[in-house]
Amino acid sequence: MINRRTFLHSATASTLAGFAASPAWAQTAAPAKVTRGGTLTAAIFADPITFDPHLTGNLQGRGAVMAIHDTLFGIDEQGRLAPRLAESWEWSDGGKTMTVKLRQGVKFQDGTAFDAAAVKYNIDRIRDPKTGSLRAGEIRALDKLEVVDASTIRFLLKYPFAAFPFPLTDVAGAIGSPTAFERWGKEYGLHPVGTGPFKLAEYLKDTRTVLERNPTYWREGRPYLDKVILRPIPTDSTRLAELRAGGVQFAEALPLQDIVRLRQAKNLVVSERVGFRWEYFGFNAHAEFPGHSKAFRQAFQWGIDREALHKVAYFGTGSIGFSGILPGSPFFDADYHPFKRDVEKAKRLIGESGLSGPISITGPLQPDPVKQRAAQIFQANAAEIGVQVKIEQVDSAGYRSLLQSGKMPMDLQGWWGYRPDPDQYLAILLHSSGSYARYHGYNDPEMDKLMLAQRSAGSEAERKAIFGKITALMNEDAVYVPWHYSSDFKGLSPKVKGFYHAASGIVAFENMYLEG
Amino acid sequence: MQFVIKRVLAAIPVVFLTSVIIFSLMRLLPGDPITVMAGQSQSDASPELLQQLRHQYGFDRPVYVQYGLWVQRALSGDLGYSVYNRLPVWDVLRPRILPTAQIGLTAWILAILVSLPLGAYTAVRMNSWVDWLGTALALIGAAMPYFLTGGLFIYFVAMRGGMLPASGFVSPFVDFWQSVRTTILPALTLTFALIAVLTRQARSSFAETMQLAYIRTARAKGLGEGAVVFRHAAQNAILPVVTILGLQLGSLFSGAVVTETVFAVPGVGRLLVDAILSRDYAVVQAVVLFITLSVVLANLLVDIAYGLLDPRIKQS
Repeated sequence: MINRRTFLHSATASTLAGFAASPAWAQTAAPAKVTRGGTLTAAIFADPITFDPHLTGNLQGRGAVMAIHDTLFGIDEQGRLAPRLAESWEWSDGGKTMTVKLRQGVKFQDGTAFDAAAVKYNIDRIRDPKTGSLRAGEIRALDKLEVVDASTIRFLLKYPFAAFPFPLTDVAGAIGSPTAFERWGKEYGLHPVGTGPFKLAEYLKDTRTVLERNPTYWREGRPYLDKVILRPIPTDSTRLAELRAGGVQFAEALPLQDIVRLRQAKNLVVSERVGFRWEYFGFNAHAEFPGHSKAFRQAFQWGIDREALHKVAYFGTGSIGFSGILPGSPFFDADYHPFKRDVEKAKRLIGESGLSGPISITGPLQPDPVKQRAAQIFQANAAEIGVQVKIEQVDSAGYRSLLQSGKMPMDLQGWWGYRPDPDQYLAILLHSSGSYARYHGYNDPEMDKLMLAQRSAGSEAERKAIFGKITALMNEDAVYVPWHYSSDFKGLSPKVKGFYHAASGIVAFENMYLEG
Repeated sequence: MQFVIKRVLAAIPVVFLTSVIIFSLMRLLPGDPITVMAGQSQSDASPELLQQLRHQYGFDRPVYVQYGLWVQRALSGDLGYSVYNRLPVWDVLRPRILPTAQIGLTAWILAILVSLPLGAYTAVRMNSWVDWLGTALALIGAAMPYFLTGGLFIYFVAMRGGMLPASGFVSPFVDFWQSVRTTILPALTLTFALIAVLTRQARSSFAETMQLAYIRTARAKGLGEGAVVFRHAAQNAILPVVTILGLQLGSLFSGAVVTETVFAVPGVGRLLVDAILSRDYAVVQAVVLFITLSVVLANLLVDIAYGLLDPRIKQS
């Protein structure tokens, strides 16, 4: 159920920030009056660490990489694939071949030409095990790459895969200069050269990243700003203080507990984007854990109080969720609310679970205040239906290693961040070969069939119908119990214009400018 | 000189033991840098790729082999490679030393400048209102966690007052005044707790000294109170305070862990937190080595200062 007010709010924020009905990144019709020049300082949550598109991991690194490099594809405001360095594309051979026409006349920041050979060089670098790129899995479906001519490249896939180009809207599709890769080798991460709107001018780890306007950028007139300075400030309250004191004009990851108060503030614009990530409680279905019983897992679909989780853990931001398909996605079904809290039904399911004696389950938890509140509500809800939940405090690495070991009885803090196509994470969670499915012991042949069907489906409508079935089956199997769609919050000085809040949380600085 | 050599030799087992303990404790923590990186990117990395990365960085070898290699390299001056930062450890650590040293030393000197006179004054005027105020402030200073003090400074001085920057650090070689401005708040935050400890120590040590016979003699000679306290009592009373100053260097580093995170200062403390959370073993090892050496060195200097202040120490 999407809360009408949050939707309205995000729309207002985007309007304020110069919304245009064209692809998010494009805004071909520039706003009537734009102030050029100036420096925008943005407070970010963590250091970008590396500007190597094939090695970067965190959101901040991806954002900076994309400002410097540009990607093959973009995402429009309807959540669909849009041209960027790729001008057009065509599917053939039953969804197994994608021929891409590249933009011509584009130059890298070192003056070398962007062409099909450069694209092939980059994709090959991801696939080369020597690179050790974590992106390799995202383009697993790729069999061969053919350079047809300087501005045409053909992707030959191992199997029909409709979602294939979507990772190429992110860092996997960021194209760096082959000359620079050859020159710098492992040190490319500190000397990136792309075709993007900004060049890396200075990088001081944990202090600042200075991006400078690329005067030869292929989009006429962009970027408007001369400079963007990214300042990593890890403490929420300090980031906010800097924004309010005017030390920065833009801040990401605003603390949830302050949102209501900040919206009243005069010298500040709060932008909310629903559909930034979704949350679930996960169960381990391996035989040694209570989660092996389907009825036990299903009990939580009815037993958890999503309303309380939404209001208490998230302070009423975002919206209650019942699926892994995010609002804003073309595959999202706004009318799907299959569960209403029913403690009696949940108790009955626990009774049918075949589990005897006092049922107890342990889940690790990181010291994140939102997830701590959520886990406490979950614990209380579980107690009501006769299940004792033990919470074990761990740090992020501890949680990850427990998850990857396949020995985590339950996941109290499961979440997935926005990806433009649901296949990008649902396959990992639900298809029996996906890593999360393996960690959770999830293996449903019917689900595997649906996942494959969706990949080779011919149209978006067809895929949407199959994703509906996938969601229903995911909830029936209840290895993942979805409960929330969470929002991303950014704070802006009222002087900052041209901001579009993308669901990825990544900021296109090229469209932004400072008023007056 | 012999004394200095002896002290340096005694430091070797301390450094060695610390490195062994940290090395083993870090490996006892669940997860490794590869787990963290794969988790952060939320990509479907295959088990083979993760295994290959672990092999590439040597995380699949037995811990004692890894330790042996680390010691061997460290002795030849190579601190290893930071997997998380994708840089040699020394390149990661080196730029961090200046901010931490600058803020830490400022806090340290401020603490001395405030707490010695305050301690002496309150010792002489026991139970006066200044004494009561000093005691109260010391209690508050000792009880307030760094993040609270720091948060209050940011809120009132930086945000409400707009007087100083709320975060960041500028090198004095780039912009001297901006550097001073970015140093004040974190240094004040650190110094607050330090002043609390030092003032209490100085007060009791001055109070004790003031009871001694030679002070009575000095007074009997007709010296003014100021001369008695600062020329005669101070020399004795200062000794225990100097000891505490050396010991407190360690707490300056632990304070830096918090203040550098709150004030977004790119120093050693914040590096340590990030390295532990990302299981960046080589960096943790190097930072702890750096801190251990600093503390050992500071205490060595304290001992030398002791010898200069009190000739009796030299003989023993």
